[in-house]
Amino acid sequence: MTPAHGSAGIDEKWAIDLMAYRDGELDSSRRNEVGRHILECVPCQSLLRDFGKVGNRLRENADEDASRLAARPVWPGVRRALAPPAGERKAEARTRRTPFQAFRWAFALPAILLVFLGAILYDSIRPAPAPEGAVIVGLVESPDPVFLFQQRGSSVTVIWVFEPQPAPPIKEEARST
Amino acid sequence: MDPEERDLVRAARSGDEDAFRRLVERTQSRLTRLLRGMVRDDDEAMDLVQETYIKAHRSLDTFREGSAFGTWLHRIGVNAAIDQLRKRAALAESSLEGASSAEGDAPDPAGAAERPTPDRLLEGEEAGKALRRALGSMPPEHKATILLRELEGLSYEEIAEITGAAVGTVMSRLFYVRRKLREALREHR
Repeated sequence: MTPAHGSAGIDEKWAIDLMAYRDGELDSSRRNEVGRHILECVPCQSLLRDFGKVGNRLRENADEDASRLAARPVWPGVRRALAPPAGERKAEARTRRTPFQAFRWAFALPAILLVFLGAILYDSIRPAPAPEGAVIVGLVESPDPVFLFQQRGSSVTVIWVFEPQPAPPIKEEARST
Repeated sequence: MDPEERDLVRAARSGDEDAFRRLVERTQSRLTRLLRGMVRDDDEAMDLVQETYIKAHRSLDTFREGSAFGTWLHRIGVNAAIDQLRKRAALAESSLEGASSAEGDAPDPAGAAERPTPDRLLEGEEAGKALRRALGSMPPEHKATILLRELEGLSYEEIAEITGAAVGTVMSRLFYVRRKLREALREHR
């Protein structure tokens, strides 16, 4: 691209390329092209010099301001802002509990119910000794041993699904009667 | 990101207050210089610096280790400064519209102190003030762009990342600001 240096000054597109040249943002081929032109062009050299002055002045101003502020510490204020007040800290500690801590009652309640139901279930299914004074009056064929008991002196027949303890002596007693 | 900075960020993330303090100390002078340049008021700049670190601390989890901590911090700070300048402009527009237009100046708390007086006739000082006035009248995004380039020496791509603009926009903003500041310096001569 050929630069246009009319009466209105340097063409804007070209001036942007000059700026990018100064900032080291042009690719090498374009950089060479612009660089060669600058060597021979006084208005472009002047523009670049002025851009340089602007940059220098900005840095001088900024350094002046920054040196005035350098003595002001930043960390104490940041630290104060990051550390919550005592009351909030307590509340925060509550909110920082682990999920298990926060829902421990939600976990505990089903656990208690489970233990309770388990106890009832175990009680209902655990092998129990045969009723005292009962005699086996029958045996039903089934995958599980099922015995029929009858209380002595009673007409009530008890069906006992689980193996009675102790079974053999009661069986013999039943045969002898 | 250098290994030491990476370790400090990791430690700060896991709640190490001393690590975060060291990160603040490593970065505060550059951040202060940049934000002071944008808002042109000492107290406001210090408040913004503080706010930037507080925001950064609260969003440390969102920081990606592949990127530079300074660039990330500058993005937070520049955005906070842009918001601040917009608020200031809106406030000035609504309450001081008549006064500011009569003076023909952009809202600028430091402006009054920077008008030429018989005591401030040094050439350099006046040139600096002319530049400050010109910069003060520019949109916040333009200020951020030129300061990130001239003070921080960031590439166009880095500036684009911080300001959320396209690289082409960064270039045109830079050119516009430089031309304006050049004119301000020439008028002053």
